[in-house]
Amino acid sequence: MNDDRRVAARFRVLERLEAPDDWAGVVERAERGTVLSIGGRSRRPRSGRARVVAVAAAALVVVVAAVAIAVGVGRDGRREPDLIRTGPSTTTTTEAESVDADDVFGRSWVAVEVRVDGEVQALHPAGGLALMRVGDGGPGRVYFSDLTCDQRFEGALVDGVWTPERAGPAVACNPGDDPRSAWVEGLTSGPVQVTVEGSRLALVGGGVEIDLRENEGRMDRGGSWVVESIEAGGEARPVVSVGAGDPITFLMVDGFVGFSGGCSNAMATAFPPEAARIATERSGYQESGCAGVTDPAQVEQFEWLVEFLEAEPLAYDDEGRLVLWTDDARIELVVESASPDGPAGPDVDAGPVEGDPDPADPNDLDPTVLPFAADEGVAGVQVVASVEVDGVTRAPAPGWLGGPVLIDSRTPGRVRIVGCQVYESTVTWSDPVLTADAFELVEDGDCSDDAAVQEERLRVALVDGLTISPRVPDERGIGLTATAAGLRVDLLPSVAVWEARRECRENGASGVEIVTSSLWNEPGDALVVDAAGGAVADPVPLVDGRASVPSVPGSARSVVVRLAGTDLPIGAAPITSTTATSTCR
Amino acid sequence: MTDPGVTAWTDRVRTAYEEQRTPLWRAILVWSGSPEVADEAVAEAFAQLLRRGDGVRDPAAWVWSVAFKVARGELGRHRARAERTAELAEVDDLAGAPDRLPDEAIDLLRAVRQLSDQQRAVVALVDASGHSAASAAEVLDTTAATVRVQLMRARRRLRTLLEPDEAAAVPSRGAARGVGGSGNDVEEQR
Repeated sequence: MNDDRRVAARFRVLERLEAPDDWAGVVERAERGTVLSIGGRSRRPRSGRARVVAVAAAALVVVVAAVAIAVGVGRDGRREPDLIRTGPSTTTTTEAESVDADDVFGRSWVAVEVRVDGEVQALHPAGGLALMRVGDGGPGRVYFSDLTCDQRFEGALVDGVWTPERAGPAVACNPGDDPRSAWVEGLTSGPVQVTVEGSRLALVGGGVEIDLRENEGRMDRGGSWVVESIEAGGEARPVVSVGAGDPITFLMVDGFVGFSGGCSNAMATAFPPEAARIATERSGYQESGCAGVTDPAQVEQFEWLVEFLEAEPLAYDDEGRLVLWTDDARIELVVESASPDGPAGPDVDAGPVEGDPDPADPNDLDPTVLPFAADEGVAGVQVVASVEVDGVTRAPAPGWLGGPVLIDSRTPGRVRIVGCQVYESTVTWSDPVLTADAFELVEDGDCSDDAAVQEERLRVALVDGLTISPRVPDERGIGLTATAAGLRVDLLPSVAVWEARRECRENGASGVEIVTSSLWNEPGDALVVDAAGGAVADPVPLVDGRASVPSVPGSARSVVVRLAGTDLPIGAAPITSTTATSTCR
Repeated sequence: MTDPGVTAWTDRVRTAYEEQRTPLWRAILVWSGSPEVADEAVAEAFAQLLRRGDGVRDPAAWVWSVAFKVARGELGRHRARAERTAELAEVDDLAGAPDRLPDEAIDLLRAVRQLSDQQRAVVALVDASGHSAASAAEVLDTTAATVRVQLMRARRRLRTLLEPDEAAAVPSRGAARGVGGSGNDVEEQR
């Protein structure tokens, strides 16, 4: 029995427990009309006198709130824009029959023009608005946001009419600087007609007319982004360095965003460039902690960031900043290095070296220098399989807990398919053909049917006369493609995890020392020294994130140092190391 | 004369009560650690369901969601009362549980109490009541992916709490597979 099942079995003790059958009590409660008891506001039915007092008190609260709204003053004497204009909501379980809700909610909108009583209002350039649905058919929340003020309002969208019910907390709101007071007040004072046409949204109500366009595709989200500030619950949250003074860096590559939380903890999740929201359907994370040293602040921050991303924050660009925000938190990031053409990461390359092969051109590479075609075969390399079945890409291939299928060949002569199941086989490598004996099942996993089927196909494909040919999938690295009936497997080595270039030779240095805090620094990882994409030297073991490359190939003026033998949590999405420094010596 | 519509709705809620009462109660019990909170939440949720009438499209799903919200309020009320009256022992010792539950269940609840709120909720729904990740996500108004991650973390923690010796002896799956030579787990949500 696996660990999960063993733990789950402990819950069987509960099967002996039965809930008391008190249907009569339920009916009695219903007839009494107990006040809703949700979210800590549970109240017993009161006696007649107590109920009168309570109703009077509640009415007083409403009146006071109404007066406060009317005069625009909060408890601290400042304007309090998040007060309720339409009276307090009495339930949090409204079952709104949203009309065309899917066209409205879950998208990020930017106000293009706002008119109050026909007069065009000033807007912050980044002034945005997002409509989010909370639960299926539940009340919709409308979020307003700009640089100076996040203000959240909740209401239900029914038959194309959004009716404000209550306001959430204002976050980072500076009323004096907020140019939107008039239209926010108007919008939240009464029913609002919502119409959507493609990427345009119109809100009309309360004397306000707002035209919005969808906030998507405006920003190149490739490259690395440094966390500039974090705000939670309306207050600044300290940003803890994840290394020796290293900032938190979000790396965005191929529709994914990943970050290192320090101590080898990392997370990656889907974030297509055109999306207005980070998704968690294809996310993974790695927790390994620090070897013997745990920084509680880093760990706590990592957990917080994971929770933040799991909340599927909305994203919008703000004059070069990327803002990720959820109901009660926001992160602002500034670009560190944009790399639309390749993987993110430090790149101090001085340019192409004369005579070097073009890594983007398969014909310009000598297969004999490819890592997979070296005498050692595939030993020392662990790759991620991106699987295409019957023309449909299934990347990342489902593996254990949905993780990628790894082809692990770090033990010479042996190859393991590490997915939901683990298979192992003896292999013989004779360029360019990999011959594998039958794979044995060496570890049984708790597979879903889909994962098991796909892994079985992968295993069969690798065994049954599979020919693996060196290929160059793109300029990011060198890979292998395996094809079999109905199946194509791209094996993308992780050599593109990060790339740092130094003109060490030009400086007269004979070697280069690399220090990295790679996300995936594992025993067996190695650095591959590659003379500008061509000549590959022997892998250099990476120990504790540090490797010393003894010499640079004599013909090279610059070197490309790549990390090989790494795991990736997401299929073909290279997760770039957050930090890497190289020193000529 | 009784409104036929009301009668039909009452029958429907009664059926849901028979089917859902016990698994719901177990889930609330595991999440809150208190049979009293579970009693109250289940009764109140079904009473509210009864009052709402047939506007609720999926009574079973509705009552699970509401019961957890009621339980949250009840638990807060219990704690506040305990703090006011210095009845800290009530909170510490799983209110009402020792009198109504077997020792094995008490041990389990004590372990579950050391989990985070969300982790308690997911094990309550999935392990104690048989929900799928997707349906648990609906109850908790979150994503199935979040449920899976929290469930994995909760089980890992529970293994340590319930079987400390075995947990120390068994390497992590990631380590066993060479996925993470230093004991890393590469997890994936689906």
